Amino acid sequence: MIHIELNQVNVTYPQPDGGQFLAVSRFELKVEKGEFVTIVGPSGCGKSTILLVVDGLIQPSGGQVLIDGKPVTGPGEDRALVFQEFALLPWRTVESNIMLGIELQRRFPRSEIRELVSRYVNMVGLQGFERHYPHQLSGGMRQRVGIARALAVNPQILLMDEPFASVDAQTREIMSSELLRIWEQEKKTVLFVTHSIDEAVYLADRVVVLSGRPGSVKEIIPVRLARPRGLAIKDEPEFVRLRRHIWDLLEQEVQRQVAGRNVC
Amino acid sequence: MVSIKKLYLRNESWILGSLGLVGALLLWEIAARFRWADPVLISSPTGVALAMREWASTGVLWRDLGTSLLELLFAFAASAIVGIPLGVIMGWNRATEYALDPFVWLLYSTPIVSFWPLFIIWLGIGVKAIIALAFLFSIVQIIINTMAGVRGIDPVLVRCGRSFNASTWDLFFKFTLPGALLMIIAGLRLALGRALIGVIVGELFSSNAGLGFHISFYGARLRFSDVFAGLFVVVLVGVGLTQLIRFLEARIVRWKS
Amino acid sequence: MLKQWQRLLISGTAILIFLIIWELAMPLGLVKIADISRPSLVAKAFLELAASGEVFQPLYISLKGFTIGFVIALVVGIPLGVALGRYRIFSLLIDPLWMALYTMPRLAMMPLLVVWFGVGFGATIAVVFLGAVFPIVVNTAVGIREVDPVWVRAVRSFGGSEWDIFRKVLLPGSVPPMMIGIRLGVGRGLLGMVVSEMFASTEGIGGQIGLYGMSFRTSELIALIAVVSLLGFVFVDIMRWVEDKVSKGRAEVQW
Repeated sequence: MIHIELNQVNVTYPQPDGGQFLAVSRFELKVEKGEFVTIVGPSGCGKSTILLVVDGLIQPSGGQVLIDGKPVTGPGEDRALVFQEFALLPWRTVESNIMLGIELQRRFPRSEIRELVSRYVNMVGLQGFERHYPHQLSGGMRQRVGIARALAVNPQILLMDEPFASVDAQTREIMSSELLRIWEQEKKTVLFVTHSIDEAVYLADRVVVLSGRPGSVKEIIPVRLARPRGLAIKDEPEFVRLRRHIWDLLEQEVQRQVAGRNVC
Repeated sequence: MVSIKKLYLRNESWILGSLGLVGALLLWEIAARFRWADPVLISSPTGVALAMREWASTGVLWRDLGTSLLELLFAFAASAIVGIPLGVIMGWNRATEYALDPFVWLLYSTPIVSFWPLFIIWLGIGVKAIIALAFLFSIVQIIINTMAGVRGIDPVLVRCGRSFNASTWDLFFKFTLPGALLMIIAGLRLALGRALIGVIVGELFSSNAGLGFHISFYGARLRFSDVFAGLFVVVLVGVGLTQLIRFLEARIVRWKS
Repeated sequence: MLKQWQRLLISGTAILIFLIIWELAMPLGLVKIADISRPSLVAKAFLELAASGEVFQPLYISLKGFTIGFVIALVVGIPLGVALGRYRIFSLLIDPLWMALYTMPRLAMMPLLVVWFGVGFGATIAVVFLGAVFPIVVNTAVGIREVDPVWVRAVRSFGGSEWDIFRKVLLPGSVPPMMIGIRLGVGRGLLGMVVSEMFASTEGIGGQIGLYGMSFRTSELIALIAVVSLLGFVFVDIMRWVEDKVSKGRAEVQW
């Protein structure tokens, strides 16, 4: 059944000189419950914008965004966002940061909170670091806090905005496989934005390839690889074929960017 | 219309800023006219304007302005002449810094005004004491900034100089000083403002000419229009001189940016 | 680079040399034009003043005035700073006004303040307030403006209200610059306290300075100035300690 639906969505941003910038144009996507969908495209180009619109932090200037058939009016308890820059509050400990979402939503009984936080600390593998401050953690660890924070409010939809972009390449690999492990446990609907084709194919049930500015759907590609997926799957022929295909699509977009025609 | 909106957005800070200023002046005038508070105590923009005109037309304004500026010039020049070399030495030579630091610290954390009676005792009531006070007000700032400027020089540049076998003299004049120049000038700008305050305060306490004197004279007679006029001129002088130095700073920053 | 103890040694030696020269200056006739006293006399004067209650009583009065003025500056200044930092239009409107008031030397406004708020206590509170409120407002506003917008977005994405954003992000996030503003405010407030008392009062430590200044009692005068100096020193130290405590755990953010 359809969980998230975007119909002909346009998003514009006002410019400082009064003009309008079209970031996303006529975007169409239907996401099933429990699906893991990745969105990949050249840098910028409205990828994050789509997540913000689904989360209700920005209103589309045209078209509709529906969750379970109902239009999105603002952020809600059914969705949680994971940020590229982690967005941890530096004056709070790891524990306290994970609690932030719970605190804000005020719907969890106090008696359960301790246990909830503890569960997610363990799930992301940060046992022993509960009292640490963000500046004492590595990039990978900080993002795990961000993920735990999002999961802790038990959303039905997880929105991830290039979550591993600020993490080094090796940690990135490990974290994406960790993410799949966690996802298998919790079975949320996930919208995951990335500019790494590798990551996009590895994680997804379907990959949405974006065109350049304004961002719109170029092609949606199903990924029919078996789950659970270990990192070794990246050497399999089907994986390689998918990656090549997506790269070919994107190459056109990147060339247009380099030629200066659709600079994001 | 789109173009008006664009015009507004581009100049927003000017437009709103002027609006705020005009609004405040209007409010002031209305408060005086409608007697929200005793007009004697708060005066009004028109009252101040009139007081300014009278002050200027009798020529007393120029005498007062001249006196204060002269005192300022002496105090500031002296503090720069003494302060910059001192700051340079302190920044360049660690031992000197440690030796003189407690004294600089002392001056920095003491309200300089408290030295005023001392200056009266030593220099008598009059211009000398005022200049001494302003001198002290401004020299602390100059020393601190100069020191910081000299110390903050990029060590990579110094290493570069050394690798080219630069003498200490060269190192200093060709590398350290130009690099520190910006901080030194910023220090001068701040010090100028402080010297001005020193001059005004000194005149407030005891003098028979100058902007500070004007303020205290009319203040004692409850003629607040004249007091505000005096304050206005002080602000103008302060802002004017500061802008001058900022202009200098900007010309120098061109290579740094 | 020299070690800590070597640094103290040099500083200590310099101070010692200074005191010795000062002590011997007058007896040796090095200074003839004025009475500059000597450390021993100053120390004696201090003890006498302290014993006769002319140091700590006035100090207490001064600090009362300072505290009231400073607290008012906090109560008025922090919300104002928050508003200026948060609401851009408001800030643009108020900016030039603010700058104009800031450049007006409050010490020059003394005659005005004395009439408006009364000689002594009232004027002191006013001058302390005016001195402290500017750095507090400006630095608080800067702190709020520099809060990383991604934190605000994070709170919003979890459904936080404007009030949540204020309480959980803006306020804690702007604390370090706010502390700097408060520290600067303390310095300027103290200055105001002394000036106001010297100008318009016989009470408080500033009043004492004025009194002894007028009677040409150099030793007592220097002793009192030393007390004020120490006060400034102690306050700044306390503020730095507080600032340190507050920034523990925040090392990641560069302020």
